[in-house]
Amino acid sequence: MRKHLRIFACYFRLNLASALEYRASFFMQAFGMALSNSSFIFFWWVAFRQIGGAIAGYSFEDVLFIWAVGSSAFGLANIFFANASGLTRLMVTGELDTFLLQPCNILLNVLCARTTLSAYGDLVYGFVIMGLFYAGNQAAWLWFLCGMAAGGLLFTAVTLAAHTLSFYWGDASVVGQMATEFAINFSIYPDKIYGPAVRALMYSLLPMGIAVHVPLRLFLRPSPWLALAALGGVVAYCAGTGWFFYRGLRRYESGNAIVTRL
Amino acid sequence: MKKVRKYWVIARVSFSNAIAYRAALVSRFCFYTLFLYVFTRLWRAIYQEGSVHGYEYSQMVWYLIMTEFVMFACGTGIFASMNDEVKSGSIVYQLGRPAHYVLYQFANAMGQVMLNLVSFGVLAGILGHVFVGPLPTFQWAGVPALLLSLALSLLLDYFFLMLIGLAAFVLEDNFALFLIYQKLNFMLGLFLPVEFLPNWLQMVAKNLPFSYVFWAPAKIFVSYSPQVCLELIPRQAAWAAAAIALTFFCYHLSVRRLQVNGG
Repeated sequence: MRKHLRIFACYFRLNLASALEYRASFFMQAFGMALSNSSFIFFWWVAFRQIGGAIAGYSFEDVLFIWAVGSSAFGLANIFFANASGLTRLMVTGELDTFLLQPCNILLNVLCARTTLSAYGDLVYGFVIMGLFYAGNQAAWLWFLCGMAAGGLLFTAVTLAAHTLSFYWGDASVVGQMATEFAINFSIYPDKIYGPAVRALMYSLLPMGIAVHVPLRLFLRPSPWLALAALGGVVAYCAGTGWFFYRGLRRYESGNAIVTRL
Repeated sequence: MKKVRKYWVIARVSFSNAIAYRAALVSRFCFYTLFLYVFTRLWRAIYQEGSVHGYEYSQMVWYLIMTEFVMFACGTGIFASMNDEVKSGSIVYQLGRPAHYVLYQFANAMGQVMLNLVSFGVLAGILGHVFVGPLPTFQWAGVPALLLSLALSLLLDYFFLMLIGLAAFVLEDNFALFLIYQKLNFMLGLFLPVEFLPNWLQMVAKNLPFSYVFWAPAKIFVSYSPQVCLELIPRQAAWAAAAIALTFFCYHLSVRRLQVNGG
């Protein structure tokens, strides 16, 4: 376990150092992403201004809360585990071979190998929203941090599960992109805007509801049972995705690409 | 005439290329459908809570279908490819061609845009009818004005993106400029009609070019009247002409300052 943590920390350090090599690009992308998120908040501000009340049972502050959790969770996933979305490419090009040969946990090695610069903007944006609208509310911060951690894991697991399909189907990159896009859309709008079938999907196959909407409910009406059920859901989904990955890995046929990783 | 034929051939080759890569088009269909589905559900929830200024629910959905259509069908990645060409040095090969660089890029982009206009046009019509049925305010008399407005939108958006692309000649990275342009478009017409904005912001939006990329054609589509066309189309045309003139002017200035390493 300690070895895995050391590898995780080492990857983070190297990825950050490589990002800071091009400082202007790094800060520009992070700032751009925060700006991008702000334009959606502007949309919500205008929509609530038109209506004057709640939308699908969510107040403006509730929407800001799910935005904060969703944005920071997505940022966390793409700072630490951005390579989940690159899994199909690794398989198709045969670059996965190099990860299999290295003496450490394959899944951790694959997931941590890359970071996304703009994800830092997503991560910080959630904290800025919380700081502006929930500054002194300790319960809100507690559930925000829990949701962020759970969401980071679930975003990674959803992306990984979708790209793992490439072991079975060949190139499943479009499915991977769609799964990520669905997961994002399930995180940033009130869940009640969707019909029952889609809501079932967002609490099972693409369970972003557990990471974003459940923390909001727990913040508004604390319930230990709901918290435990959500925790169980996150652990089960992540463990299931890991099992699915290793089962798919058995079907991987090595390529003949010669790749060097330093 | 020979010059025009040269660019026509470039557009035709680009069209053939676009047809060859059908898988990319299918994935963009999926994203277009997903975005519309989410926004249709969102606006349904908003309309269940109360009325929204000047737009019926079906008008609002068709408005979004049109703005997203403009984004998916007319949008090009020209700024990004110019950025990559400057960084990699391959811009040298483009500048050396026996064609004007700006016109070559425009003709090259139009091949893909033509395919997008037809395919996304069909998909947009189908999705609109599935989500909310026919547009109650639709008028056949408005079709020529709508087509003209769409053509002006295309020009306006393309040449703004080209200007952002040309910024790479000087700045080497134009991503931040693109983000600012994209978000201004989001806020001033893509997601929301300009009429929904606070009064002071409406005034600002109507005097800036960004609203005329998405809001103008969508407004003409869902609320056609000769007055609306007379108000919007001349402004679109003026901004499009300004964007084209500015692009050629900036090209002549920036190509002199271009420094290419490697390639």
